[in-house]
Amino acid sequence: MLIEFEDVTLERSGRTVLKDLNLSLLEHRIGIIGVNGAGKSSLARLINGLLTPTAGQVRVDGLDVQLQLTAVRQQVAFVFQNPDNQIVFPVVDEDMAFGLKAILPDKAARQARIESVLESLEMADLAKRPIQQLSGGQKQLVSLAGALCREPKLLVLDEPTAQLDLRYRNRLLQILADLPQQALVLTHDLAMLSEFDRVLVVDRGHVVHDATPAVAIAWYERRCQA
Amino acid sequence: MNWGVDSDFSSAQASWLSHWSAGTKLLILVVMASTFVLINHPLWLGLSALFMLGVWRSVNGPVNWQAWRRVIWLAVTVTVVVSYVGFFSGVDQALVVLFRLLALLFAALAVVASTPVTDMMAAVQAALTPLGRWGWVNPAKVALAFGLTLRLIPVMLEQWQEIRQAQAARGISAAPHALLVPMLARTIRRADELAEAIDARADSADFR
Repeated sequence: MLIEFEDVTLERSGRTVLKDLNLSLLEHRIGIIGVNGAGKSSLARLINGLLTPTAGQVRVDGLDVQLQLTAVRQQVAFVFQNPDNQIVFPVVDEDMAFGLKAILPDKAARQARIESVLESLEMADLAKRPIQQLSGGQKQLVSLAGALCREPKLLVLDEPTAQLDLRYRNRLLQILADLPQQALVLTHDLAMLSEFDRVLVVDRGHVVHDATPAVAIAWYERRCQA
Repeated sequence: MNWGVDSDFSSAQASWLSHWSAGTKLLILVVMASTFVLINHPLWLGLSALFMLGVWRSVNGPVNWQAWRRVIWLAVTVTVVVSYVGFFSGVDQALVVLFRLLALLFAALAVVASTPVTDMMAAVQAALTPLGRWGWVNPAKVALAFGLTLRLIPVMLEQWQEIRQAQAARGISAAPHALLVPMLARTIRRADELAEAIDARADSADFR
């Protein structure tokens, strides 16, 4: 699915967050790296209309994000850094059902979709578990499961491994590797990008490097050491 | 509702009461709450509290004392209220308040322990539909707020404990203003992030 940024500028609270951004993203696995405050999260939030550009246009699969927001959001799912701020309901399957009504009006079909996603992630035993009984890693997987329930074409993940221990980090990476969906990942976990198709380095509102993972990460590490 | 660790405040469990519809249970809860407010005799209220305790225990698993320890503030609040009433209005009135609160608490716990949150939300939404037709409220949004409240109580409790522990580690004593300011700041930030997540996950059809 093609994601296009055309002359995109974003200003927030009088500060230019992104400036004259022109990008075409078509690869299956795309990583975005950069120091805190570089503009990574803002760039990702433009893709599903959580932020609106001050100037320019963002298109997802040919759809204008501003004008065709509902259609875009049916194709783009977002997984946030902190699952506690993404999970809306107190029980796993109840939370996963949130947001499905528009896509699957039939309750039985919704439940079947939820069970199928949980099984595919080997989490069927968590279906009736209260969220508060889950570990941080399990909550992050529940967030991902909630996103996958919508069967999006594109997954945007904002620092998905930031709160995970090594076991859940590895499990998440394995799940990501097996997913058929296109994925765009914002991260400080450079090692997880090694098998990706393309990595962008963002700094002060600009894409300052755009290459294969090995090249982009080496460039970014040199820059951080300078 | 899950306020902390485990089953005492957690999600719905299978029991004789779980077969009743959420709407019926919420309606009975409202009627009972009104009745408890109208009764002013400590004996009848005490018996009501005992009865509701029995109902709650019959639909819930074994008592989880660890979970109860985390909501000790509830016992403190009830003690303060009852002591205040006892001091100014006498023992009889204090017992009325105590048994009324306990009867209400056990009744609410029985409903929560036997009803999935989504079912309660659907009942709230159905009850508000007439008001929605007149354009006074959006029933789906009110139901979502109801569900979110249940979800966020344990999150807020954890947040409170985190702030308290962080301040204790720095040698700051537990002054209310020292806790409330960071609590408020973090709650506002969390509300922003939660609103963003809801925006990303749902569309307008979920609020009709």
